[in-house]
Amino acid sequence: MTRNVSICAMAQIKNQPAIWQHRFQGMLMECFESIMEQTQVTFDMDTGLRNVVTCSDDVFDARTISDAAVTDVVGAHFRGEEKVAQDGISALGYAMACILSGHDDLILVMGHCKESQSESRNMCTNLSFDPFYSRPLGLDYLNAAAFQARAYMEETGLTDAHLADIVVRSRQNGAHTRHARENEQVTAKEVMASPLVADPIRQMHHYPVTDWAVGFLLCCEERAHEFTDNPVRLTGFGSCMDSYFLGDRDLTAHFALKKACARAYTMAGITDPEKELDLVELNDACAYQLPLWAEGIGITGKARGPKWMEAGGMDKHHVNLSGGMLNGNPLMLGGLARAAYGFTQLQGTAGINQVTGLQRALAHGTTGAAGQHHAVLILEK
Amino acid sequence: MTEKTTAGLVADIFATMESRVIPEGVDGITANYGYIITGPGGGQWTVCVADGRVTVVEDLVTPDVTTTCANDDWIAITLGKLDGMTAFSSGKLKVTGDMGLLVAAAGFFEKYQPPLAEITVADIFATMESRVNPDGVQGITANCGYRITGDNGGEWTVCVADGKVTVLAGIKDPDVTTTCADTDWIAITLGKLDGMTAFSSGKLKVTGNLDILSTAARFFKKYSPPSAGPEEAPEELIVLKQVLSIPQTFATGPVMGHFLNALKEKRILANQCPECQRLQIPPREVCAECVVRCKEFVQIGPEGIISTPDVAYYASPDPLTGETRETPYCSCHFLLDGCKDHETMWHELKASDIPRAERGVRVRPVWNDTLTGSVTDIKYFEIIDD
Repeated sequence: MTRNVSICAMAQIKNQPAIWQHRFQGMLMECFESIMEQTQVTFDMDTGLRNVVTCSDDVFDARTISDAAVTDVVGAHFRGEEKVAQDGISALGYAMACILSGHDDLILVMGHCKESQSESRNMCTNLSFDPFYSRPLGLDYLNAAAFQARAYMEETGLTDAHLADIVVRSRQNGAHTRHARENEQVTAKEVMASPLVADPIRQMHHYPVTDWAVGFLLCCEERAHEFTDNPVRLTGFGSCMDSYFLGDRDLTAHFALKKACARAYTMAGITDPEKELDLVELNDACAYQLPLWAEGIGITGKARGPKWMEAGGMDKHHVNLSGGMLNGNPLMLGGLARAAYGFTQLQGTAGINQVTGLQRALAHGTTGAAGQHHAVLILEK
Repeated sequence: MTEKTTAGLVADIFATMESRVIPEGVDGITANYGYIITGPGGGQWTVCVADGRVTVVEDLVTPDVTTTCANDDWIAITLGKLDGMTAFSSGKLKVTGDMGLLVAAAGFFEKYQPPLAEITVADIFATMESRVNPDGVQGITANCGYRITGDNGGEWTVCVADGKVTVLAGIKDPDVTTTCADTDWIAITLGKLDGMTAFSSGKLKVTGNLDILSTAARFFKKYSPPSAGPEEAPEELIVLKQVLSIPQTFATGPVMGHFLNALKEKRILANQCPECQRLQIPPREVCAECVVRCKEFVQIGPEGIISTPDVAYYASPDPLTGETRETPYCSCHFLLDGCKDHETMWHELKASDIPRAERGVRVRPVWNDTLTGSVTDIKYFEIIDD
């Protein structure tokens, strides 16, 4: 029997620069209680929640086996719990697989990350590199991204002015999104005057330090009505891992993102993404990544990112109406934030930026230096 | 390392300890370290350290701490090829007594240098046929006799004929005969003594056709003493030692934070599950069993009883400083007044109370003079004397 999977509920706290008043357990607790209240889901071992999938990172939590510290506040005590330690969109993919396989009817997905806890997130991402070669040379996600930004700008003619437009638009959209990080509105001139942090990436081109937590209740489609009148179906998922060593990769070639999309599009029956996607949420930790990933998912052609932007592609394809990761989501949760926004849009509760007649959305997540891993999720009304 | 070369090495390690003492390393330490080394070449030794002096005794003499280990592992640890802590964790090294003393012992001695295996004249001649240099003997036919004097000496004839070399015992029809003391012959073979210098100084005497000898230097490839192992040493495999450290700011939140703030007022708080009524110390946001938020705080103790004591004899070193806390120390689950069953609080017991650490004994907290809102505001619990 072929099954379908729906998201029945989503709960999040506001993205904030530093949630000093709560432990990450407290952040998760708010999301957990909201999901319980929205759905009245139980922990009955026959009909309720038997399994929880969490997303967190040991280094950001400064605690090895970071999931062990949160099982109590995500209702995982005395039942199954499994952790995803890469972008949380993979946790949604994993939860889908649990349900599609018939292993479970219901899965709770909970993710948290408190970037403000570490003195430097670059020190954390430096630890993702090998200790012999890349780490002593000072690589972290930011300067790995700078390599990619430089390569992309050289290839396509993307300019500092294009990047400024992306930042200005991101902050405008972020201001219209509930639970988004509150940032100052800026002009293109101000963006271009912000200091270079890793040439060509300026401070405002890079997402700000953010704390956040989120939860989703996934259910097999036939039981979704028990928990919501307004479910959103998950019809496709694909992921792909590229080379670990930065030097092995063509940084603008989209190898992993294209593979991930091909799998998700096949599953969802999409043949022409440019026409068949009504809303796109891309995991843009840095401004240059928005047009780069847009090429990768196939809503514009290879090396056409700047031209696509100039032709109004970002608004035409409804890309990152949430403000994107660039407006502020923590690492690990960029993809979950994209899926959360796609969910609100498909439910019709996105507020000022609500798109009408929406049928299908794509949410994208990426993990690792300069997009080593990519995953995409297709959500449908 | 072959068995042949390790024989006697363990005894040598202990025999050379007194000569390898590092004065600062043993300064202020008085203890007897017993060693039981098993396997061939093993035995029992006691390293007695007293006020900066070290005496090694070949027996177990009232040891404060005793290490048991196989001979090969002990040699590997001494030579730095096996990490002592790794050996301990993997069970290769067993310790009884005061483990804390062993941490200091790593700094007692200068590095041990194993003695070179004994080089014999017989071995030099025995390995000649395998060391023939084909280019060096080509076109030469001659018998070279050697009379090596001394305890280690003997007589040999190296017969070279059309590129083939045979070494015979005794002097057989020599075209030239060399006479030399055993120690000088070993030195010449190892390149430590120049053959021509030895000849000029009379250490080496030659009778017969002297010209043949000038070609003999090229007959053989270099002699490798038995302890040197294969001619090419394996590539050193580098290991990196690094300390990972990222400064953190941990929020304590309204639950853990409330508990910590109360410590500043010498109050110990638990929080209570509204459903199952159990107390949690320290308080957590939720009762994991009932999946419900716990908002009610209850003051408990501060006196109570020991529920479960545990004495630690080995403290993990601080990776940043290498320092360890004093041992033994005693961690206990304390059941404070107002609590029941598993509602215990984990803290420390005063070290001098360790001999009396038993279930049911009454205790009270001893607070630090300065209270900062941390779990160490309680210095330790101490036993209440009647």
